Amino acid sequence: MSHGPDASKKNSRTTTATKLAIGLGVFSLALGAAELLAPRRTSRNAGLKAGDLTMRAYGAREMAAGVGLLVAKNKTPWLWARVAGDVLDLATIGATRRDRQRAAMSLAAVAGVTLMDVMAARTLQAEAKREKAPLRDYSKRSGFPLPPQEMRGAALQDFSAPDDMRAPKQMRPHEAEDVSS
Amino acid sequence: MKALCWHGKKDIRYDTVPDPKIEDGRDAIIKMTSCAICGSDLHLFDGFMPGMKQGDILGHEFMGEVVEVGPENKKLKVGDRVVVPFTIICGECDQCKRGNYSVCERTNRNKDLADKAFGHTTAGLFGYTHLTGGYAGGQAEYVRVPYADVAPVKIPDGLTDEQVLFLGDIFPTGWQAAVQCDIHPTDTVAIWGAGPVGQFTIRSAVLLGARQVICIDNQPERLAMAKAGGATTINFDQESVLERLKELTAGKGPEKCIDAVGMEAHAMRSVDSMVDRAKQAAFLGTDRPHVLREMIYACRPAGTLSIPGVYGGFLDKIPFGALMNKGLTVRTGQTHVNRWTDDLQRRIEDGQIDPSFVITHTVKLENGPDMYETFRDKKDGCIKVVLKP
Repeated sequence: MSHGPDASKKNSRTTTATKLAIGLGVFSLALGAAELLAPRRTSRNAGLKAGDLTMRAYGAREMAAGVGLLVAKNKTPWLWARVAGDVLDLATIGATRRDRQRAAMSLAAVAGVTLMDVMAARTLQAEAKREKAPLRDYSKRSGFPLPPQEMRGAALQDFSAPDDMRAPKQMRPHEAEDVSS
Repeated sequence: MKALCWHGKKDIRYDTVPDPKIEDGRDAIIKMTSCAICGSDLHLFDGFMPGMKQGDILGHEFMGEVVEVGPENKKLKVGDRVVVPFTIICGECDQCKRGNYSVCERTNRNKDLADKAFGHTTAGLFGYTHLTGGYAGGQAEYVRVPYADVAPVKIPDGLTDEQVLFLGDIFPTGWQAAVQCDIHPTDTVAIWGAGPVGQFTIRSAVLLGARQVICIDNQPERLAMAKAGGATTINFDQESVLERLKELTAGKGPEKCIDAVGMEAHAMRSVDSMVDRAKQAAFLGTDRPHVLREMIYACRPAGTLSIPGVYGGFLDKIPFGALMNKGLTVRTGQTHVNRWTDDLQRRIEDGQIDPSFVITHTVKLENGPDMYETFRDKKDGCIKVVLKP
């Protein structure tokens, strides 16, 4: 058997990381809209005393990131942009907190979202790197001398599971007849 | 001699270290001819298993030629060609006599550590932390094999290293994972993970007569190899695992579910794994048991869960209510390698299976450090790495 490179092929798929990036884009749009349209209330709910102009600027930033994540084919730069924004948000919470309890909750929420942004960005980067490499074809590596369907049960001619690895007879649900289909 | 040594998280080096010596009359020294990187070595590489020390020699899948034998060893002689199982066993304790080799009561020389970590000691292992004895591993030019008059499997000249190397771990591990499911001809067996152990589990389930074998992964190359072995595949990036399993089992779920993934489920592929990863980063958790959670939900009531995948510490958010109310049976443990080696070696000799199908990369031992990363990141279609001296 050769263990060198086999024939290659490409594949394409929508990964969970891409889905997460889209979710973060929707989240960005929602948060951005709140910051743009109701800056004072958003600031108060977050336990902050940030000015309206600051909140609106942050809202515009969120909207831009949201649109980027939903529209761009390569979402990774937009995720890193969100991470940079998250860092700014964390600094702002630290600098402008008014209500300690709410600010702490905001801090925890932003930290959680930051973690998701970083993980999504890193995974998409790894996937992009992987997509560039040709995939190997292992579709003929069965390890069997015959097609798998002809190997089904081949070991049963001279093997039975030891008693300590079998279920007690009374608890074997499918032995008497085929009830699985 | 040269060996691959652990120096910390993601830091493995090709070092010069002292040659091993006979320390006990039952020992043997093996000149390694082939060794492999195991998926469980990646837990050490990624720093998720506690108990490693700087300079520890890695590796527990290896074979070679006997070059020195202790005076009390009556089994081996210089020149014998052997595969060395990853579990070190005495062959004499109560557990060994019962065939429960992976929980041998005598070979872990750091029994006190294991007692503290797990409640009781388990067998000594090669190259796998000081919790299991701190024995030097097999990714080295020479290896000291303790209790070498018990476990090593003699190999006849007609078989290549590539055919028999995996008798030391992943082939028996896949086999035991399937055997302990107690597979019946009407069973659907679902296997999470199409890595090397998953691949051998698929073949074992086919040989043991499962009606349907399903494999779950997201790597196209691995799924292609799983399909070649007789599995119906589910790519969890492209479809819902639970929905697809229901479709394939007329809504009833698979009778037998096997976790060939363990503690490092993909951190980004599910919300629960993301939370687990965050907790690992904050030192609030040790494992990412997404597969275990999913298996419990997917499994047909009164079914069996088999867990060859390695877990290291404390797992939370396990749906034990579902486990209990569905009446599931859980079978797990490190592999009792020597319980299966004679039978599996005969199957290889008879041509029933050729384990070399799983090897995708063969490189020199000195390139081992780079291959850890290649294997971990599944680069270049990497499924199984064999290292040569």
